[in-house]
Amino acid sequence: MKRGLYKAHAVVLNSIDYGESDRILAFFTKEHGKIKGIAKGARRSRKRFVGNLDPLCHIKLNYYCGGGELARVEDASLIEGFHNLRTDIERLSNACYILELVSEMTREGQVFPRVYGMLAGFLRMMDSGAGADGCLLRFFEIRLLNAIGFMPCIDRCVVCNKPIDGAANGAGRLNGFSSEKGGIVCGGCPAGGLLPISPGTARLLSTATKFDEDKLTRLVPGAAFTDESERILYDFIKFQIGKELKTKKFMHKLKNAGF
Amino acid sequence: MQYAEPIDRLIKALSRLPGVGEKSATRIALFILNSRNEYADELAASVAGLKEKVALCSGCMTFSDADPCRICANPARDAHTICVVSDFKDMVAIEGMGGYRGSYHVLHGNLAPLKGVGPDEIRIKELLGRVEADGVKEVILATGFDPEGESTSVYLARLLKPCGVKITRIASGIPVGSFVEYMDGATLGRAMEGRKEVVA
Repeated sequence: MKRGLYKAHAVVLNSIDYGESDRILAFFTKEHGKIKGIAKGARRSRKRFVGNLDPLCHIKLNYYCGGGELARVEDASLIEGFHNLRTDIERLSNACYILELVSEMTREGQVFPRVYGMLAGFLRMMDSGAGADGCLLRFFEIRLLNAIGFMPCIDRCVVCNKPIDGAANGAGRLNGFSSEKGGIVCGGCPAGGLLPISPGTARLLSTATKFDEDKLTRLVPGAAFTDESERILYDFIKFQIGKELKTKKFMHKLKNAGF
Repeated sequence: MQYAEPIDRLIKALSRLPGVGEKSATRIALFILNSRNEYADELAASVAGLKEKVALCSGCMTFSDADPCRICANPARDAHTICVVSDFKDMVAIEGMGGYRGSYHVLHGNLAPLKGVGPDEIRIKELLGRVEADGVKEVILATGFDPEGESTSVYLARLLKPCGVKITRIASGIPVGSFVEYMDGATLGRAMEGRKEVVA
């Protein structure tokens, strides 16, 4: 990025305290994709940044790019604070999960205005109370994978490219999902370590990438969808980024604690 | 410049301290080198004694050289009211105010999804044990108002609800001595939500 002052619309992905009063931040911006920056005096100043640089905040950002690794955050004004997300630990962990997912699946310099819109849109939906059953997270995952070019093959066999037919046996019959191969595998193709997935789940995931965002809550998942889609999508994401997500671990801890 | 090995080692150790860079560490190391021997001995003994003598109070989980700590052992303090704070520094700030006469519970962190800090990594079990065993009447949630502090307080409120104690949250809004015109929307919203009836 060239030296200079920039304006951007951004969602704060993460914030780490640094030194006496500074903060190192990661943003996902509409204009320049993911950027990392430092906000000098952010923890002390009540005027410039007050509460605007917390993770989840949707902001207008002014920053200076000096050619170094970190941009210097000059000013931030709040567009949306998503305050309802902060008052419920489950909603907060779901929201943080999508922040971490975007942060891990994208690199600095890659511009994805669609991902920015999705991120703000899904946070807005979660803030208004949608997504408690986890389906919204699955829809976000598949749409994100689609938007950044990592869409797994879920409408035909990834090995032989034949369409999956629910009524067929052998080739054409859905056998399972392989993260390594990058999609669903039919009964006629050899593959090990397959995760179970029903044709209904595969169809719904495919549909979720084509629906308008504001109509996603109208999709009605089958009984197996939540478990199957969570297992295959997280396995695929883990395979792509090569590590576990901290927020996913947090969600497990919360579940183990009885929440 | 290449320093003698002991100086270099001290500089490296000091520069790991929060807010201390290599230049400041060098200045501190040279100050210690030039000071009287008694000062260096006292400093070394203080640092060694810190880890040896200070441990967590078994009641409130604060740092203390006695168990129970001075606040938990003080009969003049109300043991039935517990103020829950995220950090030892928060407890010091509330104690500094001088108006609170109850006891404390230090969590040593907040629930933090983005850092992977879950309920088992902070002192929540100990708080639950105290509330269930000690006849506590009120728990004041004094965690911060950032997303992590807020969600920790909500989590604790949900966890403690079945215990039948009064659960309160410290107020948030316009700081004392500030002006309404300079406040941001979120702060003003909180102030409006938490407004109180004026008793004339």
